[in-house]
Formats: sequence, C-alpha cells, structure tokens
Amino acid sequence: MLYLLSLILVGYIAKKSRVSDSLEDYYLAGRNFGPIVLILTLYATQYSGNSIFGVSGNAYRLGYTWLVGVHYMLAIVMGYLLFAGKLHKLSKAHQFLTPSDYLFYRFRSKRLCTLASMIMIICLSNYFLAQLMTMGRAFQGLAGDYGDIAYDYGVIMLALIMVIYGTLGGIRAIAWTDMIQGLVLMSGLIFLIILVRYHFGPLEQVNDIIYERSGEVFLDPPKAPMLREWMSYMIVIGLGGALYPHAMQRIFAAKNIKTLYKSLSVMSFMPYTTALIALIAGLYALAYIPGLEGSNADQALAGLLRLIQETSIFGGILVVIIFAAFLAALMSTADSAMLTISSMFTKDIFAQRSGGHDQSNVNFGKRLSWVLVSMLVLLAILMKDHASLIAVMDRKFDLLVQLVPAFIISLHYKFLSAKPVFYGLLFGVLISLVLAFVPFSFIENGKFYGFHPGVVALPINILIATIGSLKSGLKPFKYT
Amino acid sequence: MKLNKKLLFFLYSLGFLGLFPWYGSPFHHSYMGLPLWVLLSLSSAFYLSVLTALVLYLLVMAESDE
Repeated sequence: MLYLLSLILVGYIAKKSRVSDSLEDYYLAGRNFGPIVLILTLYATQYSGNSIFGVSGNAYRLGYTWLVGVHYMLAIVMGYLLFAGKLHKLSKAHQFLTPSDYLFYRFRSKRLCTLASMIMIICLSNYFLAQLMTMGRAFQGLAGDYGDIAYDYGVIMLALIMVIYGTLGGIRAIAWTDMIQGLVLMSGLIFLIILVRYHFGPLEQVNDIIYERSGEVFLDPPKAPMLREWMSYMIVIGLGGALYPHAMQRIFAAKNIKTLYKSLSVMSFMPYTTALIALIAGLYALAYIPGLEGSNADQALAGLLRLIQETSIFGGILVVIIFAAFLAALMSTADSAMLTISSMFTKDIFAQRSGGHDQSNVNFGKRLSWVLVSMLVLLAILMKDHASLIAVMDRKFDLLVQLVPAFIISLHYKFLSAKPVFYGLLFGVLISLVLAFVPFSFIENGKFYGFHPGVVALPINILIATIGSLKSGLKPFKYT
Repeated sequence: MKLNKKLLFFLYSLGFLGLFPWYGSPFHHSYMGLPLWVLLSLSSAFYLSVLTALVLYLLVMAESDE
C-alpha cells in the first residue's frame, strides 16, 4: 500500500517539476532522458506483466522448451538496432512527438498516418487490456476461493492509481515511477529465485517430480514444428516489440544518440534478470501446483507465491515484496501504454482538427486517459474468463509487425513511396486478421505451418510496398 | 573512430551463424539430453547479448567522433 501511495506522490512531484504546459513537455519530458532514467524506463516498460506471468504461464504449459522466451526478449533489442539510431536523429531534427509524426515527415500522407495511428492505438489498447487482465489474474491467484472478487477489485484499484499519477505528471511521472518500478521489479525477482530455491529445493528435484508425473513431455528438447513456431515468435516479437509506439516515444525522449545506444546495450542483458527467472518459477509451479489448464496456467506464479505465503511468516513477508515487484511490472507497462494512446489521440487526431493551444490539448489528453482507462477496466472485468495472456498478445504483434515497411524499411530505402506503403499496410493487416480469425482447415492453433498470421502477411506487405514504389517512379526521399 | 556501419551490420548478421549449434536441427532432437540442450540455449542467448552489446558499443564510439 505504501508503495502504491508513493507512486501518486511521485506523480504530484512530477507535476510540480513541469517546465512548460506544452505537449512536448507532457509527453516527452523535454527530450532529456539521461542513461539511468532511459535504461530503467525501457526495462520497466518492456518487461511487462505479460513477460512475468505470461512467461511463467507458458513455462508451466510447455516446460523447458519455453527457455526460448529469453531469446524473444533479446530479439526486441536486436529489432531496435534496425532503426532506433536513425529515427532518434530525425526526431531531434524535426521534433517528432508521436510515431505518426515521423510517417508524415517521410510520406506526407494523411491517410497513411491515420491508418498507422489506428493500428497502433488498437494494439496498445490490446496491450493495456492484457496488463489489466494480468493485474486481475495476479490478485485472483493469491486470493484462493475469493479469486473472482479479488480480480475485479485488483483491476479497478490499480487502474485508478495509475491514471491518477499518469495524468498528474505525464511522461515525467511515468518515467520516474518506472525507475522505482524497475528497481522494485529487479530486486523482487532476485528475492523470488532465492525464495523458491530455499522453499522447494534445487531444480533437479523439480525435474524429478515433473518426470515422475508426466514422463518426458516437459523435459524433451523441441521438435521441428516447435522450432518453426520459435522462429515465428522471434520475428513478431523482435520486430513488433521494437515497434511499440511507447518504445518509439522513448527513442524520441533520449537525451542524445549515445545515451540511447548505451541504454540498449544494457537492455541486451536484461532477459537474464527477468524472463529467465520467470521461466524457472514457472517450472517450480509445474512441479508443485499441478492441474492448471488453459488460461489458468497464467496464474501459476501467483499460485506458487500463495503456497509459500501459507507455509511461513517470513515467506509471507517476502511474497509481499515479490508481489509488489509484479505490480510494478504491470503498472509500468500499462501507464506507458495509456500515455502513448493519449498522446496519439491528442496530437494525431484531436489537435489536427481543433487547432487549439497546447494547454487545452494537454487537458484533452488527460480527460481521454480517464475515459480510456474506465472503458478498458470494464472490458478486462467482462473478459475475465477468456483468452490466455499469450493468445491476447499474439494478435497485437501480428498487427504491429505490419508497420515494418512504414517505419523500418522507409528509414533505409529512400525510394519507398506513400501509396504502396499504405496499400501494403492495409493488405498486411487484412491478411493477418483473416488468417487469425477465419477458421481455415490449414490454420492450427492460430498459426499457419507454425508461423503467425502476421509473419505470413509481412512478406506480402513488403512486396506491395517495394514493387509498388518501383512501379510508381523512383523519386528519392532526402533525409534532412 | 571511423566506422563502416554497413560492414558492421553485415558482420553482425554473420554472427548469427553462431546460433547454429542451438537452432540447427541436426543437433537437437533425438540424442541431445536436456542438460546439454539447456546449456546450449543459455550460452547461445548470452552469445547474442554480448554480440549485440559489442555492436552498440562500437556505435557509441563512432558517434563520439561525429
């Protein structure tokens, strides 16, 4: 409770620290993030509730093969390498506030910007929803018999705190709370690994229990179909994760390019402190809390903590610290998503039409955050018993990855033009959605031959964008 | 420091071949036991982390001269 209240206090201090009432100060903190703030805000934002509860849930479902989760998180850093440096330099030169600002600078096409903004807003809303649902699941897992009520109260309470500090201090509040949340997350995970080892014994013992119960299923190295699925995840998470709009805004907010590169190099070692620990905890849960199926597997970690809490007072105290770390992971990601959606609506849609001054735009953004959070909280409560976390995440990445030609290829290929990129994006999104939601006989578990719909649609999208640009006459773009 | 970024990224891509023992199918399935597979998974991830951090370090060094 103390930790949650401290977040509101940080929001208030951030409000007092504002330099001006401009959108740039509210959404990018004057583009002045130093290395420590940038590392911790990237860390706290990238390692969301999904990466803790989702990775442990999938480790519970799939066993050791989900060790590849470490590689997925690493793939995002590799994705940044494809475009972050160049995009940062352009953002400084042209004062980009939202990702669509880059698109307008590069293509001068309002319909492309609108389509891209809509896709990003939908994906971020999906992401935000997943965080809220994870918050609920965490409470549900800890509360035992009262799980359903705990889910509703957990979602409402945390969303309320988040929207208060987020709207008070803008990105400055979000980045400062991200720093606290990043540190809490890191120390909580270190506590977790020590605690499960102390409480349940070594990993060999876990292996023995799993083997006795399930044979080799969870201890087998992966077969070829799973390798294809891995490759597909690498592509969608590596590219889609790097193209998160709130991640792009952090690229804009970096103080300079050296700060950005230094922060990313630290990020390349972060999967070991987070995804790997979540995976090990998922394996412990598989051994000691059998029988969770479907979306219930996402509660594996919370169930494991409850088991520790019930057996010792000291364990109970540590569980509270670890639980605070998970809340930190959830809230730091959700608040960033909330602010970015608000910035895109405000700057790309409202300010374009209203032409109002910055103060009224900022106020609109704040009101919008309240409305948005209320709607998604309601949705999170209604969707309580549906879709596992990984299933919800998959759809978002399928769409985000379609932005590769517009954001990544366009930075390197000067002949890319607006119209083909627009149609490539449109067809890419349509193909992804059709493959994801129409029950074709050749689609198994939402994937085609192990590949995500988004990965199948991306080459078609790229072909339309590049061949269309070649056919429409080669007019080179000058990056100034 | 002068840096040929295209060459750097080409070499970085070549570095992915280092993942072959982990990802390449001949080694995986039938006769590789779990401990060796886990060791290879983790060491290949760490190899990629070091490679990526090295590329980023070189980019930082190159920026200081610009």
